[in-house]
Amino acid sequence: MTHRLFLLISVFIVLACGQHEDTIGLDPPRKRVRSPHQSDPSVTSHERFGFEHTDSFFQPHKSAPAVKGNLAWKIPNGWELSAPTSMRNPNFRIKNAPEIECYVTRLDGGGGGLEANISRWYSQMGLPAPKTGELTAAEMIETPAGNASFVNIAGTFSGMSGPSRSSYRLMGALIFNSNISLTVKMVGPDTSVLKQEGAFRQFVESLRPGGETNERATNNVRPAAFHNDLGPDKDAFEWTVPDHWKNQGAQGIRLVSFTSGEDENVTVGMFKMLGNAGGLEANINRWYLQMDLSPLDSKTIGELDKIDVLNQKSTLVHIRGTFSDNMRNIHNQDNYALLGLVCPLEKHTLFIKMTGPAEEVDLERKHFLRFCESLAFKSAQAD
Amino acid sequence: MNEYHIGRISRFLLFRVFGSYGLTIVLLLLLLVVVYLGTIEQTRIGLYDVQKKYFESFYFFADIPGFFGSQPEPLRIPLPGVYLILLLFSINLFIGNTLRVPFRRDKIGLHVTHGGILLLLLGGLVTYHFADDGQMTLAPGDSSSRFMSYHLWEIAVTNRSHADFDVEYVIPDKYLYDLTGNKTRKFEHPSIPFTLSASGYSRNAHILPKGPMFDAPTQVIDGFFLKPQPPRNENEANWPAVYVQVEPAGAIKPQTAILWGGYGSPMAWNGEIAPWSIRVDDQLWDLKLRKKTTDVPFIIRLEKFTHEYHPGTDIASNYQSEITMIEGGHEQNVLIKMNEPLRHRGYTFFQASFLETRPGSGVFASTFAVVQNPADHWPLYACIVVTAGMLIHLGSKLWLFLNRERQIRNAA
Repeated sequence: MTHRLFLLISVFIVLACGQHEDTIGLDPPRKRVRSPHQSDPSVTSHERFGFEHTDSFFQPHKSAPAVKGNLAWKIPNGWELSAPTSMRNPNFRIKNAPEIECYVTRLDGGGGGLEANISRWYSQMGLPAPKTGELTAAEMIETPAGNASFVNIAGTFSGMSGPSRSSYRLMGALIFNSNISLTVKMVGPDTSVLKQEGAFRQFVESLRPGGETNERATNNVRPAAFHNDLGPDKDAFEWTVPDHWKNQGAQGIRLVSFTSGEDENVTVGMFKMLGNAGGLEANINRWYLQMDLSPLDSKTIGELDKIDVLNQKSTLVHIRGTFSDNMRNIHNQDNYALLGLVCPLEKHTLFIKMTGPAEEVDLERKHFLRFCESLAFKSAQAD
Repeated sequence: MNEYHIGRISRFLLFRVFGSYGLTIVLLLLLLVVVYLGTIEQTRIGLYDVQKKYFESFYFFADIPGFFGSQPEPLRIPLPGVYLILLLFSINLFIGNTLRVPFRRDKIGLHVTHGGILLLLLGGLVTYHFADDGQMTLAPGDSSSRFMSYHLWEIAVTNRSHADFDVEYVIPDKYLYDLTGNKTRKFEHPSIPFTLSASGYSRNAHILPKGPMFDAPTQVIDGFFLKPQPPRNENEANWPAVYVQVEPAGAIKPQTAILWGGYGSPMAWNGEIAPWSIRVDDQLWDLKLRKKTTDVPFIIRLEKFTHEYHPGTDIASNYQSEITMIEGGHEQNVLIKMNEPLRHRGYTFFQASFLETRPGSGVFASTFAVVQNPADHWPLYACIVVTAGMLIHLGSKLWLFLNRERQIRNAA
């Protein structure tokens, strides 16, 4: 009986080990009739995934005016310019509805064409892609820059990052012709966006080739680093740095950055963004995603630790996981930790983030907290 | 086997348990509960996942929401899957009704009937493990000897360096599905001049360009990343994606790409995502994530497709395909209609659906559901055996009853 049991366990162990084999030998190949498709190693991912597909369903408007350079528009009442990015230029903020995102994206090279972009928007709203017939029936808005296809859909919005948001509306206009390819997109809570429909249409109708009477021109809105455009000196800070931290100065959107640790692989960055920067939940969950952790619900986020920084209750997170940060080309760093602080200010949100090997970040925690608590407004001190 | 042997066998506890009517009742009740729960959950997670969870598993956890009042955590009850239930049921049937019931002339009908039920269960087992199914869509004039799976995916690694033919290696689905998180698996073949690694498989994903103002949740390759999506209820609508890395021998830098199973998008080439093409050692290779394809040992060419609608509606009343079956240089004309499939060499081609090749073109492609099932006819055979067993059993009972009546009348 004992022998049989031993044999059974041995067989089980052998089978179990076999299932965890890391290298697999492939079966013999099959000979096929040669495929008529051409293989081309020079094809980029953009082309492979169809983002530069030029055989668009859309027929260009040959009569459209040349819009190779500047683009001009009228800003509706209640809208104001926000900090632009390379993809959102101009970028708008709605005064009474800060939760709305609204911006123009210019798509050099066609951007996949009209149909692809509309389908992408439908997908972002959790809706099935419209059929070709439905696309041709889309409402058109006449603009001096060319006819714009108008899209107005409601659903559950899933953007590039952050959690899905239900009861959202996407209002968009797309101008694709031989001279220009651009989209105007407004996304936000359903009722808030509906209230902006008139202003949105007014803005789209005002789009025209740039000229002397431009009130704003895309080329005049610099894609500057954030902290250069973020408001008065009031939001300039001073701080006390731990002795062993090395100041690396401003980098990209970081107001300042530091390194620490034996191999300087603990990094600290501080940056600020306009308004609530997408909200506390989206930003906390962005950090959780960076650490390959599941996002938190709003209730749990509300229960996270708070500390006083700049006289504001600021949310603190300290998480461990597998860290990736594509902005810094860091991928899958196991056993890392992220120590982050979100400090809501009057017009901005301040972020301070420390990342590095988990044990070293643990050791740096007290220094990180002292650094955060040492922050003060320069102007306040001057007063 | 005589009654002495049966008596000795039935003394064993295991035989008594596995051959008992009590176990039969428990198993049938469990089957009722599991089928009920599976049917309810089908509305939430779809048919495919329900089949995997409830019907093709040894055990699973049934989540009963709301059991703890307002608490979000459901009550988790471990239950046997239908696979295990039917396995036990087969053993129960075999022991209880084949070994424990004596082999007497008046019991022959019972043995035959239960043998038929066992054949039915065995047919289900063979179908589950050895059957293959999918679809083949052909436009008029097109021909093919391959069909595509509905649910399974594979990576095709194709050497395209030959002038007249392609050489295709396949990485089956079973090596991909568990490659979540940081898990990586390597694949090799002596004829392939590189090692292929796969990782980060997502059952349903979008491919998105990485923008400047957000962090991608997964690795960014050539400006794109895959964004995992929740699986759809209809599994056929899921578009998987996987990261692959090609590591040539020597000091050549590895190359990485995302393979995506999405298709039918206006953004794609000819309705498909183009393969990832690379050149290694002057050889041209294509890598593509695609639905699992299976060869059939003959060629089907669609000659003509016709269909009729119910008057005044878009509902098809009848459609049929005139095909040519080409095998070993011989051609044979066959008509495949609704409910009149083509059966040949273990494969069955059903007329499944049709679609317009291009909107407004008026040219229709025909879609065949293809099934290859070694146990294709076993349910029919099982039904015949069960019917025969029932006839024998009921006939013998009737014969005994009539005999007894005649004896009573004679005695009176």
